[in-house]
Amino acid sequence: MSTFEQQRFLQKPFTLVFMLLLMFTLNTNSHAKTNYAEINIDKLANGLSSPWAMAFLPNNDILITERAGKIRIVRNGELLDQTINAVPEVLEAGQGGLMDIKLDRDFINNQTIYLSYAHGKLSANATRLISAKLVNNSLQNIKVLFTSDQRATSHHYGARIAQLKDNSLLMAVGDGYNYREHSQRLDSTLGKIIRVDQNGQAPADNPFINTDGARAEIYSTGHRNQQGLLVVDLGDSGELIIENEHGPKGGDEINVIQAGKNYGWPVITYGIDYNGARISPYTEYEGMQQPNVDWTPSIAPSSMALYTGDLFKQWHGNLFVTSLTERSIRRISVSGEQVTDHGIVFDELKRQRYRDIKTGPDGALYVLTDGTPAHVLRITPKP
Amino acid sequence: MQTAIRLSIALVCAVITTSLLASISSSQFVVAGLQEVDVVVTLSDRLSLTLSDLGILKALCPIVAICFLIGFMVAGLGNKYIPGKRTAWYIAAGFCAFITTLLIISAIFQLAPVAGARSTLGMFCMGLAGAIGGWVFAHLSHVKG
Repeated sequence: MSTFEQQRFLQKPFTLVFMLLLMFTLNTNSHAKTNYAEINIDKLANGLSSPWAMAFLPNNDILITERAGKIRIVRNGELLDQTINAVPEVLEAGQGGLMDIKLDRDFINNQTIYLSYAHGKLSANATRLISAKLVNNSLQNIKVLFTSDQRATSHHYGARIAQLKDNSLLMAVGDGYNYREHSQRLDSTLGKIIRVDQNGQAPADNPFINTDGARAEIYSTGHRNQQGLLVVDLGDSGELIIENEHGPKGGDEINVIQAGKNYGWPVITYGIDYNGARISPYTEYEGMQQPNVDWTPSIAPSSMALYTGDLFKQWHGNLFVTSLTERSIRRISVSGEQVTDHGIVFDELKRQRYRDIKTGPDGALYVLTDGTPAHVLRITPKP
Repeated sequence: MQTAIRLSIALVCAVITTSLLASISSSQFVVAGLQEVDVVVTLSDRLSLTLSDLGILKALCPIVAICFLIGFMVAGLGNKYIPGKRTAWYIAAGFCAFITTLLIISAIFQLAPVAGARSTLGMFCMGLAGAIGGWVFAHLSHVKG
């Protein structure tokens, strides 16, 4: 071995060790920057049964939907026996049941809430959106705003609700699992985000309202099973609609949603079918949007919250995504349309399936666990 | 002993035949579904997807093996009590056993276990794949003379 070769030989392991040390140092720094050192975790509202979503009332009570069709009340951290009355009958089957709950932007004045649920029977059911007035713990003036096309499966309902600045409502409608090609069809509301006004009518500026054969309520196409949907207020610059959705095996996504755009399912995906088969030959196709974030392998995102509090000051304006398969909470930053996944936060949390996440009025993060029995976790930084 | 070996080889061949045909059929229905929504799928992309999908054989073969074991035992009994139509018994058993299995999985999990079996025609093609497997079994397990 020549001197030169000996030097190269010695250099390689040295370089490798140096690189590893450098990576470790960088990783440690990055960890310190992106994770609060210590957090408090308070367990609230023990005894929930298959909860799906939370909403905070102005008096700080939390309303929590349970898939069987109940709306539970959490007051001062305690789950009350009393439930909200006059909730419509829901189809509780598979992934379906009573799902999202959302307060109107002007709830203080109009007491209006929105609910989504699986409606119908197992052989013919749909994702339905209703509005109702919440008066004395009872739903009144229930109005059906939208019912999706029917399907004969009990999977992939979507069902997340968001409200735009003009007060119109967005709702995610899943593809019904066996109907994935419907996501690309404008004559079907499956696999779409739909937009209706507070009376259930398609607004005049919906993107396909003048397209022959298209459903007027469609806002965006090419979705699979959306589980997170929210609107970020950009002030004078407008608003940003962000959703996340389950891919099959791989191909979970975060997308910035624009009216009339096609998000590709099932024509483009980075996932494959659960049995290993391909969904499509393509990961890119003309006229179809690439995801802003792709999770392959899947994490199974279950909800998404915009952090608007001050307790985690440096994370103000970030998004938090809960997951079912990865059993974690991830932090996401958004800058313009640049969406960046910063990975798992709150290492102290038990790895379990998380169903929903919200910023509380006190600035804490509230996380709903999945299954039965379930509970709410209140996460705050240690002073 | 020879009978057991002959039946085992016949069963393995039948299982592989049916699984292979089911996989190929499913791929074609998946491509057809994409074409129905105006996606242009080239021949090479179709072939690539079809070949790639053969990876599902490792999941499909055990399911087909179990349903054929039950189905062919029933066919054997049927042939014993109503003889003379041995091949027909196994073809019918392959058809019915595979379709029944797919329907049971669909009913339990509320989803199609194979994408190509979501439509009635797709399910019928799965049945045909089962029937051909039945024919293979009948042919290879038959003792002449």
